Amino acid sequence: MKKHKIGLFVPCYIDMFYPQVGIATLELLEKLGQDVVYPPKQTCCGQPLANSGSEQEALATYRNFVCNFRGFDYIVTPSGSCACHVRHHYAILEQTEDVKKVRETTCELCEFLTDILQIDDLKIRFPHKVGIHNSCHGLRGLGLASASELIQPRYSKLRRLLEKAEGIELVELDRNDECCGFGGTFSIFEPDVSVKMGKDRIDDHERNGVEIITAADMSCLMHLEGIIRRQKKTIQVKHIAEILNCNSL
Amino acid sequence: MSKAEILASIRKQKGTQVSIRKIAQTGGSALSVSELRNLFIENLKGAGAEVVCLKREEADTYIASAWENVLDFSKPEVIAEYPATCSLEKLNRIEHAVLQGNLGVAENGAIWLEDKDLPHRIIPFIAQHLIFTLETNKIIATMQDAYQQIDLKDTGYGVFISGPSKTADIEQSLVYGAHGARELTVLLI
Amino acid sequence: MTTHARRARQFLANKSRADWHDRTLWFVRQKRDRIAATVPEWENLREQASRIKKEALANLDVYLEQLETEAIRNGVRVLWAKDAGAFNRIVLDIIRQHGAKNIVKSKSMLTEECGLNRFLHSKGIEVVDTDLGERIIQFRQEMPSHIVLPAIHLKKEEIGETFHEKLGTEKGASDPSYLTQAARRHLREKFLAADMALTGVNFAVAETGTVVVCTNEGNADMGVHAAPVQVHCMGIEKIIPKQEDLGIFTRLLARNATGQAVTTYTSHYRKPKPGGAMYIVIVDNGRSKYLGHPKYNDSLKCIRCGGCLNTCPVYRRSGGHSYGYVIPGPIGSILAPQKDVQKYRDLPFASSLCGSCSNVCPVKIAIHEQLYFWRQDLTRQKRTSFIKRFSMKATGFFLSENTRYNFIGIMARWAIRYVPRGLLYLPFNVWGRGRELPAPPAQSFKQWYRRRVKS
Repeated sequence: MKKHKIGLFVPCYIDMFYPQVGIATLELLEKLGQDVVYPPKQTCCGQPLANSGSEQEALATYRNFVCNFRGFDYIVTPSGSCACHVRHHYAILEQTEDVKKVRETTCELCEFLTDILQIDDLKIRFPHKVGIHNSCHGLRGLGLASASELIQPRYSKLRRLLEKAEGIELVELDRNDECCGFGGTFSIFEPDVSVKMGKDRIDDHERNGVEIITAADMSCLMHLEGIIRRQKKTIQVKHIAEILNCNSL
Repeated sequence: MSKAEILASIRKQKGTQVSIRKIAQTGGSALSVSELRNLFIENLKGAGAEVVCLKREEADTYIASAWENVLDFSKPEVIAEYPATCSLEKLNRIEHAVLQGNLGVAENGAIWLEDKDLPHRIIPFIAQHLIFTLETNKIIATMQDAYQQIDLKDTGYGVFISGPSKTADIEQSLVYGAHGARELTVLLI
Repeated sequence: MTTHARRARQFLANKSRADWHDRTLWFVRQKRDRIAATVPEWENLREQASRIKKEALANLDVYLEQLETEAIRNGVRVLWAKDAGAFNRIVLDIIRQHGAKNIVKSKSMLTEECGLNRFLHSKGIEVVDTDLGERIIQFRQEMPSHIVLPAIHLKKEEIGETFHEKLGTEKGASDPSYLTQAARRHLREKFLAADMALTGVNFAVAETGTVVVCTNEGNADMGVHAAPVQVHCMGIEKIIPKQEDLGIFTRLLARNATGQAVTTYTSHYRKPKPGGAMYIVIVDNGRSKYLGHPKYNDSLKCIRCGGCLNTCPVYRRSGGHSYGYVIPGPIGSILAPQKDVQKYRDLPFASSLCGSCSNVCPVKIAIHEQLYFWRQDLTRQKRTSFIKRFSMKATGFFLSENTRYNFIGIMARWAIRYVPRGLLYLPFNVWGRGRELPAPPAQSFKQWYRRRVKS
């Protein structure tokens, strides 16, 4: 397997609240022989600001990102949403060589594994009933899976990585790629619709016998977990990096 | 006044637009005649229509025996009964009307009628029960093919009809017979 | 809380109703998926439709004049209205000129947009809406809650009640078939008595001067053919250059709107009936203003199929009336601010930006991207609340530099751990209304990494 020089981007809310996801990502990439560097002065991709309409306030954060992540072969992040944001919305920055390179080489973890490293069997054992939550920006913005609206052959990079796990049962849902309702600050400005969307998503997983909901975005899972804990449900959430790094074989 | 203002506003604004017209027309259908026919029938039935396959010589007898007081508007004597001046009240009493379709679209069961097929434009809508005759060899694959065959400049009015009138405006439950014909029967010749 | 968020909360208060609304529209979306999948060239059709619309918009003046020339040659009178006021007056003039008393109208979002019914009512003229859903909401004096399914917010019992009151149906009767038949009898009388018919327009073909109207009920045709005078009202963006273009759009429209292969009736009006009069009224009402806008002009490609409403997880759970604009849902949220940016400033935020609308759109309008752009413009124009702008500025300050960023992380973890629950979950914590905050870890990833590097 080719060894790449990777800049690891750990999104702000993962750094602050879900360090185990960052750790799993780092360990997994290292296990796969990659040269991983975590630029210590990184912060956030700026998406929370931009999605709220404050792109101008986000420019300094964008520049900090570019400054921290220039000079890598790839920038890998366990977040489809952040990767999508860097790739698409950094278009408002002056397109210097650094900016262009950063935009082109920022990858979400799963697509890095399947597309760049071209690996899908991580030799793991995960004997659980798992439901995949297709986070919207990864799904429709990065093409991590075929979106149900498009008439095209069906595929899923997450599924490809998970289905080789020993003992895993990937559960089919009634609505394969409906939004969970997080939506960044949408969750704050439209709390009722947001929570309702989350509840409906959880119901779908529960109804179909899922034990663990996984996704390539911890932000969706943070929202879903918040509802699960409030409602004292037993269903769990786990970022896909944690499953892929569980390596018990 | 409004016209000049609208056009001026359009011309002022459209500067940044780029004209794009690179449309590859989809080629002819790969379906055989019988496949087209089957698809057409399936779609018509799906849209709530009845389909009866007949030989040409059987059509008249079938029409006469299947419906009482049926008005076959392919017959000059029937058309003569309903001249241009006839009243809406009279047209409103039509129970069963037979009309000749001149194109069928396999992908959706739609049948094309235009002024020359219609003694009155309102007949397909005002009749309670509508019967179309259509020759099997007039079934084409798609709407794109249909618009290649018809010429809108030939007619003052034209319509594709693909089933009985219907609505689902109350709780999305499908009900036939909204305003137009309650039933549609297609006789495939 | 924004107006949309507040209305959405009211909508969600009735859980079973809200769930029904969500399920019903999702079912329409599924029907759409199934039928679109029967057309292998679907994505290609969307691309072609998008290009045709782009071309039509790029040469809009040319095509509109061509339409007019052709229409006049066909014996049709063409009138132009630059705004809602002009449009309403033009229709009033036509009514007066013909001395029309009994006016029937088939579905037209444009006349809703221009408030035609209200205007004519103020002049003592009543228009009967003939689409069943439209007639129901007209009886109830409500706005449509969906552009294709105007009465989707109502349950059959409510409609039964309305019909009992207005049409004398049996009290308590709510069978959709029974109610539809009652409406059929009631509206057939109206059709037979009609002396003028108004319709909307789905497509206007410049090449032939034809206007195309698609319905399932047959109400447009009943009105148009029964009444001596027919008036077709179209926005300037309804134009398509050629007859052959109809082949693309009629393949997409009904499949994407309701999951049908085609509408029951696809009607092509080109010349008046013998002895009748035909008008086409072309309306701008603010559309041309956005024609040259590099970010927003794509919205003018919209063919009003309603597909983006059906797929929108927010629309399905907040209802059409929560948007407060005549066209609700994702497409409405990008069209409304074009009409009145101040009034509809919260609509671009009524979305999780999931992007499903853009994928569903048959003419490939990147709706979610336009929502994103509107958010930026609204902030730039200082139309969002001061508190929001201030908090974003502050957030930007903290997120843009490492030390400040680390500080808020430490503060947040500290607060969740040590602030008493009663205080932490006070109403200002909107997140906490339906959700727990994340359990704070002992250390951040950054802290963990620093220790790891050291050891």
